[in-house]
Amino acid sequence: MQTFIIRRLLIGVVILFILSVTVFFLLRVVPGDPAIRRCGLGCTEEQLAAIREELGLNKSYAAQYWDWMSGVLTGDLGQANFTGRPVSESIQQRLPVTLELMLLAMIFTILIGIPFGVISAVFRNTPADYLVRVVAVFGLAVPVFWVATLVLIIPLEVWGYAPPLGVKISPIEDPWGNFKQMAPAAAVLAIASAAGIMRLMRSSLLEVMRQDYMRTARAKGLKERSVILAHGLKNSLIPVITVLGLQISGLLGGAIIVEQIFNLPGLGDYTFRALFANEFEVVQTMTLYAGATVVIINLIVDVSYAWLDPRIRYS
Amino acid sequence: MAGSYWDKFMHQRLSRRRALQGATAMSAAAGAIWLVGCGGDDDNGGNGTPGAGETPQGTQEAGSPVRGGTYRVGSTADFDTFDPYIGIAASVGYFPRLYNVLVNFSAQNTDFRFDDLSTGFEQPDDTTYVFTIRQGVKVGPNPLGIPERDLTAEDVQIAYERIRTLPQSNAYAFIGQWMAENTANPDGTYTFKTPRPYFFWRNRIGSPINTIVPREALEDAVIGRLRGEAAGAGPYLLESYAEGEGAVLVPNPNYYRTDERTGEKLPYLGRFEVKIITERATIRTAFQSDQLDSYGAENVDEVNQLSQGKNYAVVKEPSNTFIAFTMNPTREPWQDDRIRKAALYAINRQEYIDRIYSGEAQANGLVHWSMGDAALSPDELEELQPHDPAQSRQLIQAATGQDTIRIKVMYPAESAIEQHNQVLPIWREQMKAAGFELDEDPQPFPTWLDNYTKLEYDSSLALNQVYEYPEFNMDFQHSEGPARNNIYSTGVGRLYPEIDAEIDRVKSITDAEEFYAAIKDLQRLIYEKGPTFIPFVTWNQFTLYHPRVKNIPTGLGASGLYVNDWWVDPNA
Repeated sequence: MQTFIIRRLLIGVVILFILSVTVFFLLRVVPGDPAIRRCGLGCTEEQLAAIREELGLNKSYAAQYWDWMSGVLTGDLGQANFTGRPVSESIQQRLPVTLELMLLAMIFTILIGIPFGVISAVFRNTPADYLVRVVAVFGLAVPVFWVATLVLIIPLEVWGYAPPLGVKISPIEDPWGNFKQMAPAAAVLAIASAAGIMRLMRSSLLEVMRQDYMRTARAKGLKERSVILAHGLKNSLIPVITVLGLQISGLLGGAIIVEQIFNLPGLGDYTFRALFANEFEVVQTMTLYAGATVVIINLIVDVSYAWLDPRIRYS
Repeated sequence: MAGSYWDKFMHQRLSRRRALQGATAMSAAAGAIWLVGCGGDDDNGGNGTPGAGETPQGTQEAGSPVRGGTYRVGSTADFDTFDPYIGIAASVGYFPRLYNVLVNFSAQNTDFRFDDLSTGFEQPDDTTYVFTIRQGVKVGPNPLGIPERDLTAEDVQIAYERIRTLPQSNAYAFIGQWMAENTANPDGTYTFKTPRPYFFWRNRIGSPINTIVPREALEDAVIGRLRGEAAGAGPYLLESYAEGEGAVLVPNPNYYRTDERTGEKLPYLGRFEVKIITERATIRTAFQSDQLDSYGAENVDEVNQLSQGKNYAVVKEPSNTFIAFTMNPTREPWQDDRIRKAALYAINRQEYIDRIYSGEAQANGLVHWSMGDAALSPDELEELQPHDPAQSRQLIQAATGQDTIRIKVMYPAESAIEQHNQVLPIWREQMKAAGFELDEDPQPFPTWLDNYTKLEYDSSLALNQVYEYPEFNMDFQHSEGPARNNIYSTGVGRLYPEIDAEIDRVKSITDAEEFYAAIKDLQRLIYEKGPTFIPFVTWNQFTLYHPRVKNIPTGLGASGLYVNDWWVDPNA
């Protein structure tokens, strides 16, 4: 297991290096000059030169890459080109919002995906099963941004209500206000992941229900509820839990759109704006950050899978 | 709220002009406000929804000022810094709230003049301005440790000197080119001297990017803190700012100004909240759910839709922006006057007004119509730039021997900016009807902008900035382009040096009456030769206000940012 973890970490470093070079290079070959964008119409050559020097854009690509990576490796994540604010400061400010959003989304995913997956499996080939499966397919197919817009517009048109938009409400100072602000966004974000969990839960439980020990449990006279919940559910949750972990990556990506529409000042919103503003430092760093998160989460999921299922052993 | 290419492209990053206009629209500085009882026929108390083609109406009776209300506004762009010399994006629109200018002149209302840090100025000659500094313009309480003292001529001198030595500052082009002397005089006055006479000095000296910051804020130990904090003598203080969330302004207890009508201290607001909301749909939702007090509508149709059953005040003002067609006179066939005129006569501006803007726009000449005395009259424009595709074909025939000509044109593809996706097909039809066969080159916006910047095009559709005064309109026709550094365009002055000379001469006229006459003559001259930059129409933009917002300033354009005698009545 140790060897496995070390090997995966080393691979992760290589992956992150490739990712950093790729995103660095892509940002610089895409047309658009941040200096002109900042300077605007009426800019003189002298102004452009001064801005490029200030932003470090007059250096060679290699020098720029080295400046950036050496900073990252020493804990200096750089600063935004136009505001000059340290990226680390912005991450620190915005991370709690994204974490809370993802945590809530995971809770909704579990609360919706698992029970309905169980229902669908237990009442297989009944109208309840068909309904859950249709809803699951719908949840996987529907675009997040469309649903998010409807979630905003429909309550507004019908009841004149919208969740708090604008300044982030602290969960400590106003828990209910915070919930009202975050819950709609988290619910929208959870739709696709809950749908996937629903389907996986169903198939996993159906697989488990066909096992001999389940037949044995029924033969021993146990109630069906006990058979399902005490024996079937636990074993069928193993793949579900691992997939839940992997879905964090998907939630991270979906958070970008949801944060925009619901106006939540999280990391997704930060990255999205930086991308359109040609904030090289921010986009590079956030991409690396997201990549590192995915690598680490995947590793944790793989390790936990071996822990959950004793039959799994990594060489 | 309409947005420029800069705005939509950068999403959060606005050109200072775009941010200025946005803050203007959102901050109760506006053009014509339509009031029930001021000429309208509505007799139902002002709640009537305008029908198609009718002017939206609202009601807003001022009454007595109410102190301490909270005004909440949304901003699609975040603040980048509160340093007025390098700030762009949302910050620019709020510098007049936090700081002071010497004097501001409105480009839209030429009678409006706001003497702020100065009580007035004398002009011993065409290039010299001697300002009398107002007493009592006092810095407010602040977190930067700057003493609450009066601003002086030294503050002005140091501020402008900083701009002069900082090439990346927004006002560098103005100060660098047009400040020959910058002196705090021993008698407490301040002298600004231009190297030569320059009419647009009056528009640029009062710009938000020329606001005056106390000199202590520019010291090395403090200046970095302007990223998130501010200290000034303006009407408001920056109470708090959170990146990505917004800012809160509160009244400056030391602010010198009083309401001329009532004698009461200004401003009346107790709190000015700016919420960063990047998505238009979300801003609209926030306004409709009463979380914001104002909203910049996309167009008059949206105004009508939102106004149904509501008692919003609707404020209309010109957007000061336009889509244009740019021709490169260094490339064929645009070197030929006849071909350029053929393109000019191909444009039917009324069709854009009717089909895209539901009548809420007006045709532009070379200077857009909202520039008041600088713009030619609609009747004269009809003569100088008639829609006459038959004449276009005749001109093409005369130039080429055939009645059609193939031209290359580039434009930003899939652009939803400023209704560009609606303008394009109409323009295409009009050009074809006039004999132009188009080799279209749609490009991703960054590519298009790069090519436009480097003059790597034969012709191009659209680049719309916010033009607060007509200088750039004229400079687009200059051989060196609008920035006088050979980017974006090279104008008809490349072919006719006399046009370059006349542009420079007109800019040097400092007498207003003489200037307005001369700029009109200049436009006529350019029409005679065939312009290389053709603006289409400038549309009206609409801002809706909840009825609690009172006494919204009108008709001042961006200069309304300096007016703070409006208020919010929470009981309205």
